[in-house]
Amino acid sequence: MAGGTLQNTGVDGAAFAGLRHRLLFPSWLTIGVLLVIPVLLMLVYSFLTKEFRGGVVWEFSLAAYDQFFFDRGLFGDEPVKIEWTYINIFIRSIVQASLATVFCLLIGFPTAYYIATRPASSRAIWLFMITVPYWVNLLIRTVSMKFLIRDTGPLNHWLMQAGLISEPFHIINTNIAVQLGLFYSYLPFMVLPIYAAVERFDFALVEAAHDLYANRWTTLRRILIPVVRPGVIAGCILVFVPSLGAFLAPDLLGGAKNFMIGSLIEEQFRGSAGNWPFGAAASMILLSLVLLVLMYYARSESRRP
Amino acid sequence: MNKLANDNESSAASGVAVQLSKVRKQYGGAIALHDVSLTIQDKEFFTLLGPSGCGKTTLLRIIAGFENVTAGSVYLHGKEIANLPANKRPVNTVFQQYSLFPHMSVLDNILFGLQMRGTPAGQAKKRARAMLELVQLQEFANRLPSQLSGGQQQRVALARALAPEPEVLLLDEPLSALDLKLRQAMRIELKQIQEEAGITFIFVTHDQEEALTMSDRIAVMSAGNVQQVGTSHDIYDAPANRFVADFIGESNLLEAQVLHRIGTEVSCALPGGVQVQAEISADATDVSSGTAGHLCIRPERLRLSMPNDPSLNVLTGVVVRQIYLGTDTQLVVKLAEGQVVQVRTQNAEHNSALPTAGSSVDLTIQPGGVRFLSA
Repeated sequence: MAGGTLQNTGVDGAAFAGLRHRLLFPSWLTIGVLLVIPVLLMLVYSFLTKEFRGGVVWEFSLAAYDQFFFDRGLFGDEPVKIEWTYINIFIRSIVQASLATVFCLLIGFPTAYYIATRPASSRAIWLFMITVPYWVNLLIRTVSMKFLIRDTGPLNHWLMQAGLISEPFHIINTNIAVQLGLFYSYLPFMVLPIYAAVERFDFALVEAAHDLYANRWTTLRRILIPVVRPGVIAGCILVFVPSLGAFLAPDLLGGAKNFMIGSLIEEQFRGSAGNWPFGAAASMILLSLVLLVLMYYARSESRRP
Repeated sequence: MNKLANDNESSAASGVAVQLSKVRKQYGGAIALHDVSLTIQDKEFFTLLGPSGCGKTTLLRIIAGFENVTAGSVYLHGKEIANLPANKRPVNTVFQQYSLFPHMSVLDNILFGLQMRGTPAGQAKKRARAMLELVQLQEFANRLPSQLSGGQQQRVALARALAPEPEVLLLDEPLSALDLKLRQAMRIELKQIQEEAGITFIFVTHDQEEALTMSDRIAVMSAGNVQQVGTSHDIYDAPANRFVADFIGESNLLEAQVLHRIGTEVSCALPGGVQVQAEISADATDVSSGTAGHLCIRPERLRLSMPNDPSLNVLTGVVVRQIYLGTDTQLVVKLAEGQVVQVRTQNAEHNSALPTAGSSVDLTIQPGGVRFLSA
């Protein structure tokens, strides 16, 4: 019957909404199991009491946060004294992550621009070359970096052979080594989004700007950068956020003195020396920091025309 | 701005906006422009007209400064600019795709050139507002380009290019992205704006109707050469060669040979022996009796006449097809000698029915309606 066929193909609102929920269910399930539950778990753990051989005692406690921020806490009789050890690690992490972002941007932007302005046929090769190192595990790449830059490594060998330095340039176990590791690990995360933005950029706009008396620098500043801004910001977030929580580069290249948040957290969950509530609290503080950065970005974007 | 005018004697005379002298452009082995020389007067609406690939856009881009010349010179008000970068030339462009800055409001787009020239903020704002008024977009000042229609974007592009008061405005097929009705309206408006602003316009198009309706003078180009420069009338009524005759409007081109020449008048013979009087350009010094070439007859210059009318310039033939075009009717006529010609008559002029396919007709050529072209 014709009417029946029509009814079967027509989708009424309620049925459609139901279908939409069912189709979205796998996504919700994934986000819930892999994101929401773990974060809630960490939040809960950060307010529990530590068990001495790792793990937790199910008893409410602010000890983890107290330990993080205060030497002499809020709950004693003596005046409050701030504990700087962990705050300093956080500050160092923020500085390192910011520097890594700046260096990745300084190198990544021209790289992305260069690739995006090559003929279409050779762009794929350039992109391929950018991603090739990432077929190797990050741990192995970081260890390799350690061998390259150590006092008796090839870098120092070449520099001394070339007569540029007479004594090995000591990089390993310094902040510079950590910075180098972060920069190397996250550079493609800067290059790729900027490449995508520049590739879509209409270069006729550059001609239009020149035509309206803008020089090269002004054209870059007022036309190219503002138009590809979303790509630049995506790249900055993709470099800054993982750099802030990184632990491989600081652990392997920075040594014990150049701790970052990632290493601090990792240590709390490793072996019997760990302190789960403290690690969870540090994670929550890190998470809040990242959320603040992202919210600031979202707000500044929504205010744009 | 004219202090270097003495450098170049030929364009030192005031009134010349742009002078191109033997401009050559070569891409590897391919020659895009063959030693093109042109003089464009001040406050003139000058059009570069030609099919795609003829070099008209290259020529415009050379004047704008987006392309370098391989050889030759470009003068702007007497000053050599061939080596000046685009951002140092007091010339602005309306681009084919408009190329409005997508992240800036309409007002900021128009302000951009003024800011780059260092116009004081207050003055720049005032000028930008005046430009918005000129193109009737006052209420759209704070919109982004993406929030405007094609026609509105086109006006913004025009306002943006006019705002810094360029010495010459270059327009690269600015109407080609608009629909027909809008395009026709914009033609009249562009011409008005050009007269109001009192600026030299160099307009590139492949659309002959656009060129004929707006231009003071037209340069017809093909294959990297300028074929003819002249007013719309010159180009239509006295084409310099077969290319121009064929490209501008419709024309019947019939092979013919000169019998004798008196000044700008020639007597020609068609292959069948029919004699036709034609006009010829005074510069065509190489034409004399015996020269072979073509007669160019516009379809509306051919008139249907009574059979056996003994006057000169009569062709006989058979109607192959009758095409009704509203105001006109077009007849396709096969001449006795085998050539096919188009005849166009205004319907309002005919009370009786026009000859239909198969009927014999005689065609008279209106006096002054035939040109002899040797090239």
